[in-house]
Amino acid sequence: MADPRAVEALKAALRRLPGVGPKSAQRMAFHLLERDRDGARQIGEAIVAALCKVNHCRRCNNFSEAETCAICASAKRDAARLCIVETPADLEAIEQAGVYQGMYFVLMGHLSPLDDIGPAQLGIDRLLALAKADPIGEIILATNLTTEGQATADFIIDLVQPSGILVTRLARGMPMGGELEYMDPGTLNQAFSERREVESHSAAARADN
Amino acid sequence: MKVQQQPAYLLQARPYLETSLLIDLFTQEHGRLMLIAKGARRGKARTRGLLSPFKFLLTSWAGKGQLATLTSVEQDGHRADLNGKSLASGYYMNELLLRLLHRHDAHENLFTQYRRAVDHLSAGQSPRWILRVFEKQLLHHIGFGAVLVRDAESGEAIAPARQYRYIVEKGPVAAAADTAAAPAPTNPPSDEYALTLRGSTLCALHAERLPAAGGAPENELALRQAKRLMRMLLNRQLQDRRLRSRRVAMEMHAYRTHHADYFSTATAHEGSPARGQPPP
Ligand SMILES: [Zn+2]
Repeated sequence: MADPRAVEALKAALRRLPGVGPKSAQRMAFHLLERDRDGARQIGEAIVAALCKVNHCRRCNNFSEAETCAICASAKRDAARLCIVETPADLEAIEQAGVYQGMYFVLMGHLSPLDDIGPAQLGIDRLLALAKADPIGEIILATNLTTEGQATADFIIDLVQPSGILVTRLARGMPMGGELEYMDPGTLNQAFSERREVESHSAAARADN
Repeated sequence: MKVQQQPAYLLQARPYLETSLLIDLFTQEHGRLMLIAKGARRGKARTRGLLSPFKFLLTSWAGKGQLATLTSVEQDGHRADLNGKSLASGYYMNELLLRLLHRHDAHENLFTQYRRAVDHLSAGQSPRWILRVFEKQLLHHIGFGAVLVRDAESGEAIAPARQYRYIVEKGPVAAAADTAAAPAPTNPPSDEYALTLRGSTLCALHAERLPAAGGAPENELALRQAKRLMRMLLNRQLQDRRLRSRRVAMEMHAYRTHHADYFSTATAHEGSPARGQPPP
């Protein structure tokens, strides 16, 4: 017996989610229709509402319901620092770490030649306009340490360096809990080339106060 | 099937299910193949950093059927990563391999050539000639090698000083005698199926060495003509489907050029370079 057309349409829609194949889509569709119709209604309404309300912040490009997002609108943030990340999830991770009080720009991806994604799709024009218009003292590149993430950072550095703004990159090297024996050569290599002088204990103690 | 410690380069990786990657490898003895790297996207997975392009890897896998599972990966030695322009060249080579190699066709010699090209690029050598030699080798290994040694009509050896008309389905044919002595035109006429070039360019490609004796202008001519010849022959194999890596590289170039004096002018530039606009 063939499934009714609406069920087929639901399965096809679910398959658009990353990592969902025909089998999982069928499982999800049957679950929603048979066991959790309230949940299904909730999902449907949430998607429609998000589509209507959520857009990109006109300043940092992150998802936002308002024209300008909460971070960009906040007077408490340090407007002289601009941190560039690939995704909203990356921004969230930095916020969770709680070390950074500056502003962000979210690229919503990275340069990916094999996927046909170039600078135009990453909002590089808006990023440059921001760097030109705002009184920014430091641009912090926090793209991923993948080949594409680094290519994206290199490209942005080329474009913003003439501005005279200080450009920094997150440090690379050994992760917390990392054991030398199991480190890949690339990581170890970077940890060595970016090693730094040890602060004396008294200096570190003073800095803490 | 179980394969241990197979030399390989990663050509492309895509997310697969929640935590895995689907990886396209170019291996030494098994050619191009696709594997699942289970759990490779989990936060602390050691393999995550290794599964990136242009690293010389030793890979092991197991499984039957079309899609086997990666069981281990190590990096063999460490070289400088590709960056900037060399990275664009690397992606270009990877896209050519992805588009033109069939899965599971072994190409040991081509693997060696690819490895050499990556090594030279990471050592900071100019990509211009490295890419031409790689393209020549690739065409040869997929059975559509360029004819570089003999005139396709007369069968005579290619004379470095002569002008040839290279015809796609045929090969080089000596141009009329009166043009032979004339200096090479800087921009000889060409179309999709034929172009004019000097015998010395064909000889350089055959020997995989630039005609150093001729000095810089001679090398420049060989570089430019070889690029056009290889592009004509490759376009034939790609069936005119455009290369993404080439388009993105051109877009990046357009941005660099367009925004070169962005911060020194008083007002922001109007508009931005169009998508895919070729570099000037
Ligand atoms: Zn914002």
